[in-house]
Amino acid sequence: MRKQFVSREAANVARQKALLIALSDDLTLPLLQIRSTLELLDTQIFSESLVKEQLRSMSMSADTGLHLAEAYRLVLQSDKLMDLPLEPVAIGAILDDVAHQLSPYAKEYSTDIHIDVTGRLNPVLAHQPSLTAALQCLSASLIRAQAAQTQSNDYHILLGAHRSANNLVAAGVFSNVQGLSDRTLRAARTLAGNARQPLPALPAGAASGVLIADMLCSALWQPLRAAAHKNMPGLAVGVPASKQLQII
Amino acid sequence: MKVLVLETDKVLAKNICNHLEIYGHKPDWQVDPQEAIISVDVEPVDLIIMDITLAGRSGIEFLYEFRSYPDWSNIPVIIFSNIPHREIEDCIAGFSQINIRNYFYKPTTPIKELIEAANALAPAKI
Repeated sequence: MRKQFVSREAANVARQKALLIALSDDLTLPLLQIRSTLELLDTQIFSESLVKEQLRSMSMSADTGLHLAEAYRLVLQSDKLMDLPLEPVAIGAILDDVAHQLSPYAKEYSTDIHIDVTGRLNPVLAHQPSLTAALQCLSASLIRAQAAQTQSNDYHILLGAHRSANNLVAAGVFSNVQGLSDRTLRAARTLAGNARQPLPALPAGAASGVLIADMLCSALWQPLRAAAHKNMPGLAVGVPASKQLQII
Repeated sequence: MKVLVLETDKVLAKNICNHLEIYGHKPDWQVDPQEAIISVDVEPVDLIIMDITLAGRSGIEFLYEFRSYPDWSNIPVIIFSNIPHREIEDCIAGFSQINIRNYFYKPTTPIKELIEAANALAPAKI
């Protein structure tokens, strides 16, 4: 009995360590963005509008880092997440919220965010801050990953939800990021903390968002899985629809 | 001096390119190693500043391919990476084979230091 407990604790510590390593890697990017922008402002005198643009860019980098840290904090509490108050949540409203929060960041990476909720979906039973944080981290990671794979001025990210089997609503982020599949996700879960790029398709600064979203979703519902929505590939989580509200 | 900047993050790349322009260089930013090879084929470069953790392909793999073309075997390379020195100690001996002139660790290197290293390599090529 004690042996089992110790091994479960050891696995938990290893998982947290892996996540912390991924997080420290990914937090480096927004800090580097801020530092290099400050250096640039220090090197030359810019017009007021350019300075404002640089300040806006730094503010977004700071926000990205803070969102990541906040989501990490939620993962740290993941063993207690089941005790958190679950409430019926309209998935469309969450996707709207995430899109609204991320739209300036997406614009910086020349990305248009679209929302598509297929059909009239029942509210899902979820801890709203965790679901929002998971989708936000995932979206920010895929925005960065997409822009790191090919050079374009016209990227698209789709925040989508559709009815899935077993009374689940699949909510996820869909994009043209290459190399994301159930297999690569399984490998990433094993490699997290041991490999520099647990998701080889994603560059430095984008992987921990996916891993954090995966851990949050695993703790609350089920792990992320590869899915497609409107012919776009991506990653989604199945969230149970609220049965109480179905009866009403 | 024409400089190829192979960096996956747009914001960071933009800042590096702006710094290079301030010091009179002509940067060409690429995110995809394959696109970088096509770009250099169209317009040769004098220096490469690159990360080694790229999306989908390692920067070292890219360099081995790049060096396999005789015309490009002597173009100096500066690595600007997120991987600390202690993690690549075993590889440093091999770096000279692929003409890596400097290795900078991103978190502890200001862009200014990177540009100074680029400037130091400029006179030999111009």
